[in-house]
Amino acid sequence: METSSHDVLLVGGGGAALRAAIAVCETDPALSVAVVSKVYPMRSHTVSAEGGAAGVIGEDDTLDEHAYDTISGGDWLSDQDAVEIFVNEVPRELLRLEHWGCPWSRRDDGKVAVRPFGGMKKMRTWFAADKTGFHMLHTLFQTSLRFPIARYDETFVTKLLVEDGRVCGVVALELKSGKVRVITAKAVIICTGGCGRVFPYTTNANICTGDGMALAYRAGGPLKDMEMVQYHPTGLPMTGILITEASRAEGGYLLNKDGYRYLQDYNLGKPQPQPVFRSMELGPRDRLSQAFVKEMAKGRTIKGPYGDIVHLDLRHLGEEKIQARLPMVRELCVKYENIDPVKEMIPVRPVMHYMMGGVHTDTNGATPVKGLYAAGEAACVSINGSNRLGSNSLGELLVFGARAGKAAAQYAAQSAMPGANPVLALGADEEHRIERDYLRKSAGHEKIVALRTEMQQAMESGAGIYRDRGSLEAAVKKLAELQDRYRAIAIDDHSHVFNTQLVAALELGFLLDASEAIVHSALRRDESRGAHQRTDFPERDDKKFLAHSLVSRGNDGRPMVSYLPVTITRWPPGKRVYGEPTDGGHDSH
Amino acid sequence: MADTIVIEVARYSPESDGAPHFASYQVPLRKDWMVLDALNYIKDNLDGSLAFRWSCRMGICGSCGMLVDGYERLTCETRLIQFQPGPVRVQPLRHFPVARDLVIDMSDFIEKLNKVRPWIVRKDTTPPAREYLQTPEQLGNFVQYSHCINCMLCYSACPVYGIDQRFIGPAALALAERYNLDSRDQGASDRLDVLSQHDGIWDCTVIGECSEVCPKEVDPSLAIQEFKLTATKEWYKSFLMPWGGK
Amino acid sequence: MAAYSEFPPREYRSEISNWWWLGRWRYLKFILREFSSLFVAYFLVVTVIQVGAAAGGPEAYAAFQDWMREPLMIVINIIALLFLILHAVTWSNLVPKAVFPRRRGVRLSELTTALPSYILWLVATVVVAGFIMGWK
Repeated sequence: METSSHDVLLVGGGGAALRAAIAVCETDPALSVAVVSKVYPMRSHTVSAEGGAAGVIGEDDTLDEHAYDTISGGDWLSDQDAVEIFVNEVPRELLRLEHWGCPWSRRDDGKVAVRPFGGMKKMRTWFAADKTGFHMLHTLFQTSLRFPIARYDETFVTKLLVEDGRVCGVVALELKSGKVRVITAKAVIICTGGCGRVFPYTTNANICTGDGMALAYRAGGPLKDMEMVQYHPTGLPMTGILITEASRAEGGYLLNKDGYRYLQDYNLGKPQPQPVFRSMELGPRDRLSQAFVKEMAKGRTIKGPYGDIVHLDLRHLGEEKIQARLPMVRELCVKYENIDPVKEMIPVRPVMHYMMGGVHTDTNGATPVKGLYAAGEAACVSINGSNRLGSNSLGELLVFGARAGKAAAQYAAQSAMPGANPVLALGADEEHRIERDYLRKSAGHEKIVALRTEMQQAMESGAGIYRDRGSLEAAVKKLAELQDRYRAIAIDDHSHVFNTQLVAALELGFLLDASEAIVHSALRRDESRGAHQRTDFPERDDKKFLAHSLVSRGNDGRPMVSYLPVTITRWPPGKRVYGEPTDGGHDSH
Repeated sequence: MADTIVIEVARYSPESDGAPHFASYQVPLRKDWMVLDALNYIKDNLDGSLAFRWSCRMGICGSCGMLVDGYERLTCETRLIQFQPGPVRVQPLRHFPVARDLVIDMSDFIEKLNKVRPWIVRKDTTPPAREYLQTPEQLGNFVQYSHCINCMLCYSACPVYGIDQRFIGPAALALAERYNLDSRDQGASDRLDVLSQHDGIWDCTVIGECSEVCPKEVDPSLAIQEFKLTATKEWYKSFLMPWGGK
Repeated sequence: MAAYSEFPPREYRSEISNWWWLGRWRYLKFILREFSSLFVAYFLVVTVIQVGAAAGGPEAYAAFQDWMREPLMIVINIIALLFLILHAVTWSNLVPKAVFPRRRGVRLSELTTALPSYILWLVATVVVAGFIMGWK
């Protein structure tokens, strides 16, 4: 067992983690900070984000409008104090990233360009072609190299150590050697991203297994709004690969089997030749995904070899525009669907994409567990409420990554390092558990792939875009059964060196915890709001449910749901309206 | 089209093997499958101990670089059907130590990355209130070099790196040039010292295989040759006009 | 089953073969390209001899021409010419690309950057050939 210690530890190595680590260095250069990630940082899933990051920059745009778009986009489940902080700080953060070298796309006069995006009333989404997440991550990673940030690459955290209600470090598996590392820390910031792999069709990478969410949950940090699962309306049918919302922002149409722009039937406005803010294809993601399901029920979607699809038509944009603004979209379609979007329509359908829910934090990224923080998709502050607007997530990494880093640094500066003895004892226990329950076990018989597939099927049918009590209760039951069967899991790989099967088994454990949090929260929320749609409770119920659901582990080990009221400041709950006629709509540039 | 295809995968487990050896697996031949799908099929159904890296499955994270039938490919974007009737060989990338099966030790690459100072260097102490202005043309001068996903296919393809691992290598040098050409950067002279050493740009003999295998069309070879010209000019300037420069 | 070891796991390292350049067509082309420099040197030497012979008068030059007419020399010169063409083509395709890789931020195609070099080569060839063949 190897030991080391740091003042602040980041679990995860993506956008939020790197931004937070830099913030720690800048807040207090005397602190020792380290990033522990199960993959090299440039492999983090931030890399695949495409569309852009929103931040108010135009002269005719205001912070209040960005706030309102976000709050109404979230169907009023967003904490408005957090949203106000977010819209206020995000332009500064994006600018900071520009100073660090991020290759934002530009206007002819050299200023940063912005594009329209779903659910936004004004153009405020900064973008770097259609590889914004890639450029942001690489800029952050390369910039982080000039700070004294220690890194434990390909080191998989298996447990958060908590003693007397206070975080004292982590236990992690060094993949290269199989060694167990115990890292003592005063503060731990969880930035491990989402848990899309609980669903069978997702834009998420293989590594998005809800590690940090489960780690926090097991350590006593509640998970908030887990039932709020975003389906992105345009993913490729078999692979689930993301086709960015920017393709619609640049003017793409969604067509059903009759070539009809069907979104006009769903209170999203009337179709215009050019994109109109907050209307039609630029509506919010939850409404677009729900429209697909309704079209499918009417039999107006197209039957593809991998299920029902609709068409995303970009042909009218022309080759030059597609090549300039959406080159990666074109590349993906050619490679994975054998289709050139310049000449043919792209088959798309909603795929699971993002977790609005996550580890419950305040506006400084602090969880109720002392010394434990979270930021990014793994956290739920909440700014996204029950539905996230596209291009708010990348900015969230920066704003709350920085805030969590700063807060954790300030906390660590005035805290004592946890004592070595309890940490080592807990570490030894964990090392023993991994050996006993996975590596050396001979009595198990359950296979990873079987449990994982059954979990994904249960989530898809029980907690998809539309849910009801029956489907959710079935899912709850099935997941409880799978948790039980998980105890009998067996792996073939008993090697210590780079044992990816061991990692997959540990990830499956995290996924099961995350999925249970999702279905239990969904079952208790008897209303429809944003991405959570209950066919048995089709209306929004502000009287009972203008509140966040909090899932904690009860004394019996089972999930327990409670509620926390939403913070309302200046925008009392109203109606979510899209498709209103606007003054002129979008000017192409 | 046949139903199945045989995949020969290089296996190596340091705890039990002295050297890598091949293991054969028969997998379904589906026309939509990439080689990565076949590897996952093996792992899920035939041999759970097969170790390999992958993540995004859409060619942007750079994890899944391997040798497929002797050529450097990203397995997530290499169609399986092109290898029929098979068998098709999958091996780890060359020129790096093999840690396990298809997993290489890439710590040398990380070291090289650090060495070239891949960040914006500015001489001004306070940044401007707004963005540094940069026209689309200026962006075009370097943006192609910024598309590197760090997949290391270029290192595997480069015989110079194969012969001498001290060579800084295509991706790291291209990244350095990306910053040199970025109109916002003022650190070119800082990087010059590192890059114009013997194991920097001058180790490159313009074989060009790196640019051939690059899945993102970064063209690291071009970046290196561009920098050779710049470095040469700087060298002449340094003794013809020693009073000038930064 | 292996026990957990205190020592770092043994990575497998292999040496690159001395015949690495036979492994791929492009590697072979590279080696041939580099090898063609020898024939550039050869032609330089022949040219120096030729100029020297021209300076030495009509008899010296006739002797030079007889030498060049020998079957062995013809074979060598044809081989050398092929390598020289390879050298000029690969040079034209590569070097200008590094000198002016872009215009207005957009990468230029290989043909665009190579064309001036080919044109120059053609003009120089015509001029030199005219000069030599005009000499009697």
